[in-house]
Amino acid sequence: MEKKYKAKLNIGERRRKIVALVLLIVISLLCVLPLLWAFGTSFKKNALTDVMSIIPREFSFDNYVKLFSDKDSPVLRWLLNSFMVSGIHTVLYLIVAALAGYAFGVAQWKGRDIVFGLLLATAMVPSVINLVPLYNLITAMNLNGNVLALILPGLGGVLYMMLIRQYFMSVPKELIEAAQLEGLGQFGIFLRIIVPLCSSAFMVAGMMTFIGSWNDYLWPSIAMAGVESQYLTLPLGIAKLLGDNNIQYGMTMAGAITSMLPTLIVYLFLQNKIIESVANTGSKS
Amino acid sequence: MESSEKPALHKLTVFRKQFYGFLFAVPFLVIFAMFFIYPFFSGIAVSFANRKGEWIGFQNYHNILFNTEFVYQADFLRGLGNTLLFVAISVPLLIVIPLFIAILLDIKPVGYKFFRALLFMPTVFSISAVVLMWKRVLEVETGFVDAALKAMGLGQIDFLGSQPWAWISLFVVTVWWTMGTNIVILGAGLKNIDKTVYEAASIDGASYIRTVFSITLPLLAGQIVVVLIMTILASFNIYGQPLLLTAGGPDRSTQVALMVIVNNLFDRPYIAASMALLLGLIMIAISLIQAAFARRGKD
Repeated sequence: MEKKYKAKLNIGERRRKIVALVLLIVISLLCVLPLLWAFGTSFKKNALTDVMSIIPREFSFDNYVKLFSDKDSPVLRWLLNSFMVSGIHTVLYLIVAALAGYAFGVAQWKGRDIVFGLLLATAMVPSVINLVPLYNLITAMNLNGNVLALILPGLGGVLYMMLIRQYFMSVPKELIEAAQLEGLGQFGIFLRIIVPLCSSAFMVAGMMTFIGSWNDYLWPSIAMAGVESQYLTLPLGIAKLLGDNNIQYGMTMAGAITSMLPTLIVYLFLQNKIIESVANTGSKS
Repeated sequence: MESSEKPALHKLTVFRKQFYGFLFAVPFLVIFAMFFIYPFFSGIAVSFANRKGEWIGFQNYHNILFNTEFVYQADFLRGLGNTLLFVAISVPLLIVIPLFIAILLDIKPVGYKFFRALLFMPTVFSISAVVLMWKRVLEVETGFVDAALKAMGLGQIDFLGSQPWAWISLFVVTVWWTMGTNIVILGAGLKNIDKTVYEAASIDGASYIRTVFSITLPLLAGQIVVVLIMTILASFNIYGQPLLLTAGGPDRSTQVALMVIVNNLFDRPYIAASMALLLGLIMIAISLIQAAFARRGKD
């Protein structure tokens, strides 16, 4: 009897898997199609007469050569600017957030939980509320168009500080005790015990911070309003390409692909970590 | 667990130097105070002041909400209306489509991890790259879709310059760009559902689709609410897609609240600040409603 049920179950399950597979293939093709087309178009010799094809009829690197040599679109500079801003932002944030994570997760001090509770409560405040005053603030600090305006405000981000704290709290207390008995001070415990044990926390927080900073558009477009083209970050520069109503069709696609590549590479290497951390954000909130 | 460990830590002499532990939080707290707390209060102050910084009470709020002679009132109300329209349509799409895909992935056909990675991929791209690509796809005359329609002998559609196509284009781009996050979060919820429940239902002869509706979805309700709130809040922040794809057009029909706020930000910060606070208050209200529901759910 049971065997029969199992068999029936297996047939149903197998059929279900096939249906799911077919549907997923269709959905995925639909989703990848524009990307493939954009990728193909970026290598087309003449994108305007060869619109439909995904594989270029005439293949050439001209679009990329033009894109990287055109003075109106200093893509290399934009790439460099973005790497600098996102890189510095990520490193500084990890340092600041790790110290804070230690203070709120491991160290004991009066009022710790109250301060942490207040930080938690601020998560409810939408960032749009701070947009105008933040602009006023950087104007008062004379930081308009300065990279510091892109880096500093993000260093107070609560989200990944809390993630790092969570990891820190999972370090076995016996280890801390033992280190303390061997005469390590607080900073020694932080640097030699906690930080090395939580490298995956830094990896997750680091890559999410990097991707977020790399793709940020709204705040940079305000903080960098009116600066010369060469000081823009990549998303701002790409948006400028978009606004130029550029007839250089293939070239703009080369621009889109170029700006997608860095985060795509990070994603390809760390996709499991990224997907895992996104899955966790759902369960925590 | 936490409470049982704390006393042990307290006993360590190292942790008796309480002030020293606080020092670790100082860099973060200084930046947080400077770039979050101070702007928060100064923003509220600005919204109650005029151009010269003089206190004018609720005048700005009155102007943008009720004063029909005020130039920017129509702008703001239109923008708010457009944002609400976007939220009302994009949120159901961003729940139903990812839920459907997450259920397909949860059946675990061959290569489901690959499909999940592929469908999540667009979320790591910047909005400007995404829009640049889609603009070329959807453009009249030179776009991919236009060429495809022509090849099929169908008429031309101005996807970006006529309604309802401009909105439809914005929804397509938004779903394409952001659905990966919800697929992954809902997928994590599905993973936690005990699979033996399905087997039992299946032995009872229930069809799979019925099982999904009568067992899976009720069990997933908590996770769906979380995703729903996250998606609503994210959708209220709609900005980059209409700014870059349709430039708020045609005829300002896709000009959303955040675009109006940014338009006023440089020249009339006090107006922009009060608009932003109103938009923010709606979002806070949604968070509070969710928190209340979450608390009731726990009781």
